[in-house]
Amino acid sequence: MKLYIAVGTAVLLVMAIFIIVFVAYYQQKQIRQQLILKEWQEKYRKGLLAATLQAQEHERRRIAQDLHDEIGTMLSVTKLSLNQLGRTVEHNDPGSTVLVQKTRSLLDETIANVRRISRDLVPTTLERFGLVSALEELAEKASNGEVHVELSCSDKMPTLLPQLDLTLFRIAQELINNAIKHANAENIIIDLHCQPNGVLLSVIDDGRGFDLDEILKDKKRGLGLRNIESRLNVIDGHVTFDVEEGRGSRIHIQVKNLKPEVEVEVEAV
Amino acid sequence: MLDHPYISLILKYPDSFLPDLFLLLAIGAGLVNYSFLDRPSRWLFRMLVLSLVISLIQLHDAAYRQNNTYLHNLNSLVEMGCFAAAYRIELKARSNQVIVFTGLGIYLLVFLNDFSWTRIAGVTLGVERIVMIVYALLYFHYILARMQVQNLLIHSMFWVSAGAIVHAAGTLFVFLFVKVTLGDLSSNGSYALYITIVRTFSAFFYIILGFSFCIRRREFRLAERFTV
Repeated sequence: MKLYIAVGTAVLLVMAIFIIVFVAYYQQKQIRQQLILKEWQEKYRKGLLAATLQAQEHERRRIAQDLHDEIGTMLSVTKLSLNQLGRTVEHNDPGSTVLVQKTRSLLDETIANVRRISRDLVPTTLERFGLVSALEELAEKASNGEVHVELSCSDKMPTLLPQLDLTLFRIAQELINNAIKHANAENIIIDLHCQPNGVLLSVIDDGRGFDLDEILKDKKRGLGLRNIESRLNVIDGHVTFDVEEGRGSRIHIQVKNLKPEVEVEVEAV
Repeated sequence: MLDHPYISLILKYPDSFLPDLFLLLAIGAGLVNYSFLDRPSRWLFRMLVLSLVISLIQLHDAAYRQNNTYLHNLNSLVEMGCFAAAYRIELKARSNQVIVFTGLGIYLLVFLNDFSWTRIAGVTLGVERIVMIVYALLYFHYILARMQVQNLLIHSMFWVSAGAIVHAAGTLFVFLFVKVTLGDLSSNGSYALYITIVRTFSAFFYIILGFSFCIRRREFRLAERFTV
């Protein structure tokens, strides 16, 4: 009997130890698999996001091209015809000359608007002269009598990957737009500085600020901020919001100037 | 001085104090880490404190040569109650809680039937060990199904369950066949061997419980770091 008890106890003990080891091993294996799956999902999500952004850029480019090549050309031809019509009207019906001049100025305004929209859609300066020049142009365009936008940057900026250039430009565009439109800022500073292996872009304004948590909670608002996060996600960038209601905002974007996992194709114009 | 009942008991049976020593160490570990203990761990801590109280009464009775076997049975009831409470909190799924309560119910029925003031209720203690094994297996199944624990080796309840399953497996047959194992009190009988086995496994279980309290602090800190 005692032998049976000893053997039974030994068997039970071996089984218990086996179960413990098996549970620990199997759980660790499952966790590793879960991590791999998460990595894959993250990679897939990034790829999808990159493809969406790429499609967005393609579409902007196509619309800009259509505006420039088709509508712009049509408007130029219309202007030529109007000029001809104007000369005929001047001889036959001098009373209508004012109307023709009014139509001509409206047409000039439309042509200028189409050019502006087309230029805004595709940042040609960015592609031709780089990020600093594009940001200078952006600051210049955004500045008017009420708003003052200033760019401050390192003397020597490293050459960034085209994808990083575009992302930083679009983010700066979004933040300046937000500062003017929503925060009623009067002074905006774009600060671009290089860091070891990366770049730090800060957009600082003296507007009325905002409650970040409240905006991110509301699904209908904060689309721009979510877009910024999505764009940075693709290039493994990082955003820090130093914001509070009533005291302006400081938004810092940090990106690494390394070859990213997901590349976004940027076409030359 | 040396003929004081307590001193002579210690001198006569120094080995029997081994589990009590580890019990004290486990309580010390629990006290040091008390603020980090979650609800299941606190139930296990209560179990240790109650076990210590019972053990002290047992020692007193032994020193004054009074019957103390019923205290083994009472200790089993305390262990089972606190264990069931800890697992009821830890195993959140309703089906698991039903199993926990069923296990406790079966144990209580056996306890009421088998309880005796003058002998160790072997069947009760055996059933207690079987229910402990069931709880531990249930917990293992629960963590494998949920996959919420990142690192099992620093998860306190895993160690508690591992300790419980080893302790229960090592002492199950000793109590199920209590008449054969602990029934023969003659000098050449097997009582000394089996009681040493029981004490060794109890000491091992207390070490594991103490270790789980220390692990709990680390687990708490880790969780805090991830949630900040």
